[in-house]
Amino acid sequence: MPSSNPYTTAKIGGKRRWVAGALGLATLSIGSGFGINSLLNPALETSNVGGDPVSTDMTVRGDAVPYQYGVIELEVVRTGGKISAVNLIQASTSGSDWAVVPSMLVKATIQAQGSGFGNISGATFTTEAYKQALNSAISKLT
Amino acid sequence: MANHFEHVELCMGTAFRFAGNSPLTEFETQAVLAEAIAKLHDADQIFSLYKPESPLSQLARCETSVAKCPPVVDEVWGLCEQWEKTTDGWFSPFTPEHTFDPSGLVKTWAAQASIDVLLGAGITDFTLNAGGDVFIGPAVTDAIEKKLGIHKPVSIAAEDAGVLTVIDLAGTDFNALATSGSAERGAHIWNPRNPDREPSDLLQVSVVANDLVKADVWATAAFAAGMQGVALLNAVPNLEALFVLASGDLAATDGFIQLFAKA
Repeated sequence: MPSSNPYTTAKIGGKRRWVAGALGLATLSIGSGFGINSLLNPALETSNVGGDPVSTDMTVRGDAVPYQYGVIELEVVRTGGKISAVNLIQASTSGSDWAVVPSMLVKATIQAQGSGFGNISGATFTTEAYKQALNSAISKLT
Repeated sequence: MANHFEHVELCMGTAFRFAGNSPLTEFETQAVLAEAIAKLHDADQIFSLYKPESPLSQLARCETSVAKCPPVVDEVWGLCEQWEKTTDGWFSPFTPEHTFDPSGLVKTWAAQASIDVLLGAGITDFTLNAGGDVFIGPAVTDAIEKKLGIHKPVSIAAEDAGVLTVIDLAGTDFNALATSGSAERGAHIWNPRNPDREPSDLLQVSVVANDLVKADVWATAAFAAGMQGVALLNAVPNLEALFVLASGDLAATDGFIQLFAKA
């Protein structure tokens, strides 16, 4: 279905299903205006990446591994010589034009959460995509 | 004092990630995790329709009967029937081909069994991401763990993968978020009320609830119901949902907007 997924294409104009309240919240939350694209693009911070400068601890991000529908990217954290965390990198939007009101809402809420989030929910992903991305990240540790 | 743990288990064709802080020793914690993970694999061995020799596969080929299967098959069958009633037929374990396929329930049902192992052992400060369905333990205190991303309705492996939005469950009774959609596995959800119709005019439904299985089942039911799913879920107490329509527009239940993460 991905090729027919209209979500990835521009959706400007037309009727929107959001109630006025949603628009109000979005407008309030955006606050300082539209210069927030840059906020959407840096890698999202994760809650468990340490920053110890003296040890050999390190965090590396794997290549974007091609897969059935595109690419997947993981990050591996090494602490004390052991892999201590594997994080799924949530790539940012590629600047596509989203539906006007939802996009404001979405951007506002992404801006609002600032320091990130603990977990992410989505349709059940496959092991294969996960494994490939993990291998890619681990290979960069050596 | 508390031991941090993180474990990713590949099972049922997806990944289950347990992470949190345990009051037990590292050794004890690993033993508890092993027991929890065994619940997942036990369920997979019995219910997988990808394993030709599983009791469920044999059942689908009419080579055995429910009575001859392990007792949990009957238990899950009963649960599925209950949910079919509760969802007014929008969740059904019976495929258009009239075989029994409880896959829509088994992942989170097994995840709940593994959660119960941790809780029973006194580990309450943890989260579980069951292949995209998230549970937040009762003693989670870290504010960031109550913030949950909802993925865009594309595969996590897609070029434009990323976060659609972020919600914050702090200060609510909600502890689970489940998402159903066609982004990862294509059109695998059928319309039980009208099998000849297109399965859905939605791309994705995300449901927050106070129970992981409840969130998962209603997400699947609403996805099958398509646009009617918005009204369907608005009538369910203690539950909120965000819909991504086939047009790319969003819709939500009345109270969902209060869950968006605030600055």
